[in-house]
Amino acid sequence: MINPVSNVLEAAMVMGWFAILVLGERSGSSATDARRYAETSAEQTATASSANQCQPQQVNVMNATSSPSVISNGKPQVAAAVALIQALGLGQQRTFPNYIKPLLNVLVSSKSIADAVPGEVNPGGKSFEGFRNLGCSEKPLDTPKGSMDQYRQRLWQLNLEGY
Amino acid sequence: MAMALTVSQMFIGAVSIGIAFFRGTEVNAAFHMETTLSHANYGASKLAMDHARAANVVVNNNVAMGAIMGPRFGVESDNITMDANAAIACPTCPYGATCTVCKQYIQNKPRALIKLVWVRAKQQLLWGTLGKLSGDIDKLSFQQASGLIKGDVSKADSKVKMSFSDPSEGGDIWGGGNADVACDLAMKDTLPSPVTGHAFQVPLIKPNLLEGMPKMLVQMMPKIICKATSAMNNGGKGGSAPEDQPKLGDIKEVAEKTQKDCQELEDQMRCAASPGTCGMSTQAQVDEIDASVGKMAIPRDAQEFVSCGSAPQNAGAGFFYRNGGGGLTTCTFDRAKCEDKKLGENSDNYMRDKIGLPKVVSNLAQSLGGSETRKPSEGAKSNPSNFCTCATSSKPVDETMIGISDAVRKIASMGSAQPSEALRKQRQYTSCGRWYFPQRKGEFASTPDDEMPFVAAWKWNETMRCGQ
Repeated sequence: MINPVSNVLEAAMVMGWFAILVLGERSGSSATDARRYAETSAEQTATASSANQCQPQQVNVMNATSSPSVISNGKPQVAAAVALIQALGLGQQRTFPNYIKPLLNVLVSSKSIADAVPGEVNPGGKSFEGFRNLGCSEKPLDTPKGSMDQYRQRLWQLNLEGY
Repeated sequence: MAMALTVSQMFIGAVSIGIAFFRGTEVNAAFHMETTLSHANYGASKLAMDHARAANVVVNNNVAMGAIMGPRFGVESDNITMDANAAIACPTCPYGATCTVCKQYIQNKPRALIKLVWVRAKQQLLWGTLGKLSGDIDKLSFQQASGLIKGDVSKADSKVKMSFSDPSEGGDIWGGGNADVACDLAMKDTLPSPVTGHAFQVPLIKPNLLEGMPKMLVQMMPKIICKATSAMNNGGKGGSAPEDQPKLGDIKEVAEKTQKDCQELEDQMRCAASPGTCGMSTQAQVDEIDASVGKMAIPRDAQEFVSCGSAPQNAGAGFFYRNGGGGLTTCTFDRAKCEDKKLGENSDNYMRDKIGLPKVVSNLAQSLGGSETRKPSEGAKSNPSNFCTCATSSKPVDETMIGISDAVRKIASMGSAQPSEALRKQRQYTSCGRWYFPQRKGEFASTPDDEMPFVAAWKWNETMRCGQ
């Protein structure tokens, strides 16, 4: 004969375990979601800023916030060319900055805080972070016909005109 | 009963905890993939960005190289024209009407020569230095970028390893010379500018006895100075057609040689037609020839100026011979055509031999300063296949995660599961970037293919892999 009391007790305990399982799942899910939001926010912010010629674009995902910063990350190694061209008096031309502009990266850090869930293992308030780094696109400096006339005019006026 | 409850509860508890742990390892693996791939994306974006900038630096180099070539064309042309003026005017001194031109030449030529020496030296220096830089820039960019990427990634996660597959490691990707296009663009830019004929606007010599010659010479310069080029040699864009050649008939030496050349050709024809009159006549005259062979053998050099046809019995001009059928054939020598052609050739030779027009070049790069302007090694294309680079990131999965995953799998399989190979396998992710000229649509769609290496609009984007 089965003792109804033990049945009730066992059922209660099984349900208790399930309750704990569900709460655990919610707790884990809350933390995973927070991390996911942080990663996605960082990814989208970096991509948007990079594609926008390094003008910072902020993409927030759910409660995640991102902060893009544009940093200089190297310069073309063209010192010989710059010295030679500047010695001819050139340097103000539209495309000259291609020699000297720093190469830019967009560096994004994002942060997301997990939602609170009932139970003892509560990730609520715990902070998750994401990081991304991307090279930036650049706005073309030239016109479809090129800039040879600009270089030629200046070079001529400074060095050869007048005899 | 209490014991049974405890065992069943413990079992359920163990399963619950196991599931939670296992799920945790899965989430960890997913984030591992995402963050490791992000390093590859960073690497590819940085490499492609730096290569795109290098492409625009190559363009700037090409443009600066072309920009100094235009003034060189102008100064070369002015000097040649001044020399030709002197060749006409100086023999008339001291009493001739154009002797003033000769005096101006003697006084001002040194100034023009200084300009010429300066512009030649600077052009060669610029072409040598910038051309070499264009060949090195992608290698330098890759070296710098790969170092920066490794450093940045190491700071973010020291366990990530980066490797690269870059085309600059395999040779010059900006290899093909395109001095022809550079010189052509320089000529087109310079021709309508004050550079052309400047010496005669200042003026160093007035009047210019060869009006129009500076302009004509500037048009010829791409062919003369950038000789070993396809576009020029094909008589295409920018090259000078023979009819554009300057004709220096006012220079006595050239005029006399032209007359002499044509006379010799005419004499050769006469000799062929009537050996008896060889060398006796200096003018075209009528000869009747009994050509027993039936046909006169016209010397090869004279053939293009001779036209033959059947003639009436009383034909009064040209050279005659009786053909095999008994009829008369008349041949005429087109003296005007000969002199026109020979004047162009002799003028060209005169400028090369006497005035210092550059000789035909056998090594173009050498003659231009050691290097040339460049285009993609695959040719003038907007999207060469080797303008693509890849970065690969790899990082092992955390050992604790692997241990948990193995333990759970072992428990769930009642001890039969083997340790996970998939988790232990080195996980690596590749991302690529290509750089290209935005040719197909938008602002730069009108730029011709061969001018793309002279327009600083090269961009980049990320792609899954190269070769697609």
